[in-house]
Amino acid sequence: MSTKQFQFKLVLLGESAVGKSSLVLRFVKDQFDDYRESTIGAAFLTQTVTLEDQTTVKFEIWDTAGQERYKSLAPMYYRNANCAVVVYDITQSASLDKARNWVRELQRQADPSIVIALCGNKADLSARRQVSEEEAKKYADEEGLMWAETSAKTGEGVTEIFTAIAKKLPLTAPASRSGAARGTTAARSGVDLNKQSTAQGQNEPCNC
Amino acid sequence: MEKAIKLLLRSSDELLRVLETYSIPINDLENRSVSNNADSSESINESRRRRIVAVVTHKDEENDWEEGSVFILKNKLFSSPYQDEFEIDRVLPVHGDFTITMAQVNRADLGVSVQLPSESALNQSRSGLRLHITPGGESEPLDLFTYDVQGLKNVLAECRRLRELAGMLTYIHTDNISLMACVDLSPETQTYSWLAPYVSNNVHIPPFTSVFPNIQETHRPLFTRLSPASAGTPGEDGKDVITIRDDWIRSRARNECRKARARLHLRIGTFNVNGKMPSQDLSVWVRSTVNEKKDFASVLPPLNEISPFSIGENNPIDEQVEDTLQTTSSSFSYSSTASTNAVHSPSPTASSFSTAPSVFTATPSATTVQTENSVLPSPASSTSVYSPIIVETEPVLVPTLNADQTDPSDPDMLILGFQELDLSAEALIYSTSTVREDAWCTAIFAALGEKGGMYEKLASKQLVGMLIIIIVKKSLKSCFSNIMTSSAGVGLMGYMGNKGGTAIRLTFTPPTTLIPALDNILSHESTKSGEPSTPTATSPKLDFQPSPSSQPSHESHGIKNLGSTVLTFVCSHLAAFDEMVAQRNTDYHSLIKKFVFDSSSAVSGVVDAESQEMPGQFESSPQHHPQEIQEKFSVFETDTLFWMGDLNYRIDLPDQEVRTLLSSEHWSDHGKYLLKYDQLKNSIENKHAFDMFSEHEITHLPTYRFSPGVAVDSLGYDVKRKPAWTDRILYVHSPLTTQIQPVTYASHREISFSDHQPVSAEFALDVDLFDKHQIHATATSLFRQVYGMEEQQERSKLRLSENTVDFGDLFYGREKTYTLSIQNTGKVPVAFRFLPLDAESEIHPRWLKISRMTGLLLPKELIEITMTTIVDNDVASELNLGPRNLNHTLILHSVMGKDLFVVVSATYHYTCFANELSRLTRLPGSIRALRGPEDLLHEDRAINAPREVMRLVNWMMTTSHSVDCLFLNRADQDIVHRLRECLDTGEDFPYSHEAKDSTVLVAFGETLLQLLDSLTECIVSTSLHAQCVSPVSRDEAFEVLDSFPQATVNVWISVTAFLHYVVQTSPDPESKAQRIATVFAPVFFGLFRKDSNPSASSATSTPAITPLQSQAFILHFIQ
Ligand SMILES: Nc1nc2c(ncn2[C@@H]2O[C@H](COP(=O)(O)OP(=O)(O)O)[C@@H](O)[C@H]2O)c(=O)[nH]1
Ligand SMILES: [Mg+2]
Repeated sequence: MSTKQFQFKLVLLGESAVGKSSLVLRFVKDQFDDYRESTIGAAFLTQTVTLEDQTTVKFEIWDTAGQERYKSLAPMYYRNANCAVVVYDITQSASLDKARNWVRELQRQADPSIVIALCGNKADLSARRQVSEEEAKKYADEEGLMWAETSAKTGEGVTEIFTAIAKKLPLTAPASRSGAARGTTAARSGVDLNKQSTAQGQNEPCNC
Repeated sequence: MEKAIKLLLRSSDELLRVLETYSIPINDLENRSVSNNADSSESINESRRRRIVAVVTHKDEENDWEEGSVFILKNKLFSSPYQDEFEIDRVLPVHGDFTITMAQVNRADLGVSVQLPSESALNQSRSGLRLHITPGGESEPLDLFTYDVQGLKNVLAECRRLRELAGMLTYIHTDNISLMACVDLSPETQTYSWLAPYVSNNVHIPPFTSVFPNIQETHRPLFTRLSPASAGTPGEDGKDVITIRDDWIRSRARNECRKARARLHLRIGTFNVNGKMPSQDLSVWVRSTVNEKKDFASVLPPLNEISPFSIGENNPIDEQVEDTLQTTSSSFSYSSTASTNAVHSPSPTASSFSTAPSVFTATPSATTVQTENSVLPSPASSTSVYSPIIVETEPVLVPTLNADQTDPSDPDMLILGFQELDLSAEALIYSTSTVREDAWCTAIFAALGEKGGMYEKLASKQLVGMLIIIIVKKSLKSCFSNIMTSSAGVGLMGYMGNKGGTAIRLTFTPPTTLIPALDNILSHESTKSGEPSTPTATSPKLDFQPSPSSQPSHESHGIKNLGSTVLTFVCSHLAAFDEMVAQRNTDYHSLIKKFVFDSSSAVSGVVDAESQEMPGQFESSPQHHPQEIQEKFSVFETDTLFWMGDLNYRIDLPDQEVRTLLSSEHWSDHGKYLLKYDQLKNSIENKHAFDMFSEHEITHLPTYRFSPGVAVDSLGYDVKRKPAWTDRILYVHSPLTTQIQPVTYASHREISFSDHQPVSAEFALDVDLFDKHQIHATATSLFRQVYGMEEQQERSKLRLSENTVDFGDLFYGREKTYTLSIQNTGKVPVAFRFLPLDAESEIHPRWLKISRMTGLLLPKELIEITMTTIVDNDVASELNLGPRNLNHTLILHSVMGKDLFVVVSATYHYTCFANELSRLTRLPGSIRALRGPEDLLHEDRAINAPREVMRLVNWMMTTSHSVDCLFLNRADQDIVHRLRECLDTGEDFPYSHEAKDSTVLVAFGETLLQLLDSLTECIVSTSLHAQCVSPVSRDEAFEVLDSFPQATVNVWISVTAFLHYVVQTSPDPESKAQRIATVFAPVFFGLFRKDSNPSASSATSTPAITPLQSQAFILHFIQ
C-alpha cells in the first residue's frame, strides 16, 4: 500500500507564558529551553507525524503571541486552520478562563469543522496545580474538545496530543480546506475511505 | 591577511586558523635538481606559489553540531603582490580519511627559495616543514611547505579536533563526497552543505550577469513584485526570497563598488521639419544654452550625506518614486511658486523621506521629529567583517568629463531627432536615400560653428521621414561602443502618413584617463577624515568632491577596468489629429514592443569593444567573450532611456480657449492651466502610455502649428490648427545606476521654416565609476553570503528595537518620524517584508509611511526603518471621519520564518480642513471639541454656513485696511498654521484688526483659499459645472445659484461679496477682478483636482467647464 500524505494548518492559542512556544519546540525539535523570549508575533514551523498505517500528516504550525494587545490579529492566524491547540497552564487557574474564551471565539468564528484540542501544560509542576484534571476534562467533554495534559519540559504527552489530533482530522478533507498554499496539498486526493473511517472512529477520545 | 580571508567567507562560518605555506610542485619533489635561479621573476613566482591554509568551521548551536573544513587559498592572479587578495583554490572537508602529515625538510632540498613577506619571516629558520594533505574524498592530495611551525601545530590540533567531531557523527558519506548532493539530506544530519557555496564549480551563480532588470519594472517598488501574502497565510516565500536576494545583491554590489560618478552633459533635440530642407541657422537649437555656473551648480547632488542605505531595494528611492512622479504631474495648482525650484532640487538621497505634500500643505511648518536613538547593543563579535549598521556613503562626483578642457558648457553628446524629413511620395516607398540626412548633418555642423571641429557623428538611423543622429565629442568617441539601432513603423501606414520611430542603443564607458586622477583623489580622501571642501564651480575639470569615509570593507579604491552604462535614445512620430490620443497611446505600446536591439548587429564605435556590457549589471565572467553571444535587448533593458519626437499629443480644451489662455495677461500661468489638459501629461498620469517617464517642466509655448503664408493668430499660430505641445523630450532611467538632472527645456521660435518649432533639452547624466571586475567579484561574494537562503533550515532571528511605537499627537500638516531598527540576531541571512493583515487590506494605514517595505540582513546586520506620519488632505479627509485613537499592527514577516508585530498608535486631532462642506455645518462647536461622529448635529439642525469660512471672511471684511496683493502673493505659512489652529480649536485669532501688517491679511486670504481647496468636494461640485457655463448676465448667474445646496450658496455669496469689495477698492478694478477670478476658479471648481481630469474618466476631450468659463462665472459676482 502506498503511503498517503496530508497537510493541515494548526494554530496554537492561549494566554501568554502558558507554554505554547515550548510545546511547539518540543514537538518539532524535541528540545526545551528554560529561558525563551516570549513570542511577539507569530512563528511558523512544520512537523510531520506518521500514523500507524503509514499515513503521514504534515502540520503547518502557527504559534501565536498570547498577549492581549495582539488579540485582534489572532483571527488572521486561525482562519483556515484545520485544528487548534488551546493551551492553559495547570498552575494558573486564570489561564483556563482565557482558554475558555479562546474556545468560545473559535467556535463562533473559525471554520465550523475545526478540531480543537485543550491542552493543560506544565504537568511536571503538578505540586503547584490550580486546575484539576476533573474540572478541565469536564469542560472539554461538554464542549466536545479533545483534552490532554502535557509537559513541554519533560516531553510528557506532547507527541501524543499532536498524533491524536492527526488521527482525528478528516483524512478525506478536500484539499481546499487548508489555507496554507504550500503546494503539497495535492497529495490529499485518492484516499482510502474504508481505512479512514475506522481510524477516525477508534480514536475518538483522546486521553493519552 | 585574516581580513582578506574573511571577505571570502560567509558570515555564518568562522575562521579558526590561518597558516601561510607555499605549494610544492610535484616535479620538484621528484627532481631535486630544479634550478635555483634567483632572478627578478622569483618574487612573482613566489606569490604564485603562496597558499594559505585556513581552517574554517560552521557551527549550529541550536542543533549542536559543528563541522570543519580546510580551505586552500591562493593569491588572485592579477592582484598586486603587496596586497592580500585571495581566491579559493580548494575546499577540503575534514571528514572520512582526511589526514595531514608533516615532515621536516630543508628548503634547499625543495628547490624553493622563499622570501616571506610576512612576520613569520623574522623567525625564519633554514629549514621548514612539509605538509601532506590527504583529502577525505577521492580528490588529489597536495603538498605544501611552511616555515611557520607554531602555525602548523595549531592547524593540526584544530584538524584533529574537527576529525574527532566528524567521527562521532552518524552521517552517510560515500567516498567521493559530492557536496551538492548532500544538500538534500535532512538538516539534522551533518552534510557539509554549508561548503557548497565555496565550491564554485557546483554553484550556479544566478543571472546577475545575463538577465537584467527592465527599468520600467524596477521603477515599481520591490514589495509589489512579491507574491501575495498576509498574516497567517504565507505567500511563495521560496520565490520571494530569491527576488529580494537578487535585488539586494544587485544594489549592494553597485553601491559598494561605485567610487564616484562622472557627469555627461547631453543635449537632445527634436524637430518636425515638415519635409523642408534646412534653410536657417540651427545654432539656437543645437548649441548649448547652459550657463555652467548657474544651471549646473543648482543640480549638483548633495555631498557628504550619510543616510540609511537601502539594501534590498535595488532602487534606493524605490518607494518614493511614485510619490515624486505624482507630484510632478499633479503639481499644477494655483500657487506655482514652488514648482520651478522643485524640478531642480537635488535628487533624493537614499531613504531620505521625501514627502509630497499637496499644494496647500506644502511646508510642514511644525515638524516634530521624534528620534529615538534606540540602536540595539551590537553583539560583541569582532569577527564580522560587516559593519553592523548599514549606511550609504554618497559617492564623489566628477562634475564633467571634460577631457579636452574646452568650454564646459559644450555638451558631450548631441542627440537630434527629426520627423517628416522627406514628405515626397518616393520617400514613402523607397526610404533608402541619405541625401537629406547629409544635408541636415552639414547644417548641424555649420550651426556648431567653430565648435563643430570638436564633434563627430557617431551613429544615425533613419526610417522614412524619421531620423536620429548622435554626435559626440571627438575626445569621447572611444568611450562609446556596441552601437545598435532599431526602427519600427506603426499605425495605418500609407494612409495616416508614416508613423513609427528609430532608436539607438549604445554603451558608454568613461575614459580611462579618469582613473589616475580618481585614484589619486580617492586615496587622498580616504586618509583624510571629513571636512569637505565646497565644490568650486570655477574649475570644473575633474573637480572631485571629497568622499566621505568609505565602507570599511573597501581595501582599495583602485579602479582598473571601468564599468559602463547603457544609453538608449528613441525618436518617434506618433499618430496625428486632436482626437487620436488613443491611437498615439497604442503607437507607443507597439513601438516599445517592436524596438529590438540585436547585439549581432552592433557596430563597434571603438577599437577596444571588449565586451557586451549589460546595463546596471556585471559583466558575465571575464573568461567569456560575450561579443559572440547574440543577444536581443528591448528599449527598457538599459540604464537610461530618452524618448523624443513629434508625439502629436494635443490639448483637450476648445481652440479659442487655448488661444485666449496663451495670450491673456491675467492667465500668467497659462502653461500650468493648459498642461492640465495636455493629453500626454494625462496619458502618463493615467498610465495609458509613457508610464514612468518624466519630463522637465515646460515653460515654453506650444510648438505647433506655424506656417508661413497661412492665416495666423496674434501669437503666430495657424488659425486652422489648435496650438499644442506636440514636440516633446521624455526620459526614464534606473535610479540605481544613473542619475539624471534635467537642466533646460525650450523651444526655438527663431527657426521658423517648418510648421513645428524645434525643441531642445539638456541633461546632466551622472554615470557610476566602478570597476567591472570588482563589481562582479563583489556580487559573487555577496551571493556566497546568501547562497541557499531559499532552502535554509536554520531558524532566522530578527530583533526589533521596539514592539510598540506611539507617535503621540497627530496634527494636520505636521509630520513626525520614528526610527525603528531591525537586527538580524541569528546565524543566517534573513529577508524580510511587511505584510498586510489580510489579502485585501493595506500593509500600513494611509497616515503612516514606511521607508522600506522589504530588505535583507546578513547575520548581525542592523537596518533602520523610518516611519513617518503625514496628515495631508487625503489622509485628513479619512481621519476626520474616524475615531481619534489610531491603532495599527504592522506585521514584519521574516521570509520563511516568523511574523513580528509592531503596534503603532497615535492620537489624532481633528481639523476643519479636508471635510465635506455639509459636515462642517453639522459641527456643534469647534471641530476639536468633537469627541466622535456621534456628536454631530442632526442634518435638520445644521447651521447655515461653515463657521470657519465665515470667521475668516468676517475678519478680513472688518479689517481697516486693504492690501493689494491679497490672494495673489504667497503668505507666511507660520501665520497660516496659527490661523488654522484657531479655526480648529475655536480660539480667537491672535491678531488685531487695526494692525497694519499686510502679511497677516495675506495669510488670512491664503488660509481661506487653502480651506476651500481642502474640502473633500470642491464648492461647486462637478454635477453643477455644466450649469455654470451658460449664464451671460449677472442675473442669470444668480439664478444658477438656486440649484446649489444651501451651505454652498452661503459660502459662495459671502466669499464673492468680499471679493467684490476687494475689487471695488482696488485702483484698477477691471484687472483686479480678472486676476482674482483666475485664482478662485480652480479652487471653486476644482479644476486641478485629480477627478476633474478630463481623460481620466472618459474619452471625451473637453471638460464640463473650462478655466475661462469658470473664470467668467465668477466674474459675474465679483465685478
Ligand atoms: N516547568 C515547566 N515550564 C514550562 C513548560 N512549558 C513552558 N514552560 C516555561 O514557561 C515559560 C513560558 O513558556 P513559553 O513557551 O514562552 O510560553 P508561551 O508564551 O505560551 O509561548 C517559559 O519560561 C518556559 O520555560 C512546562 O511544561 N513545564
Ligand atoms: Mg510563545
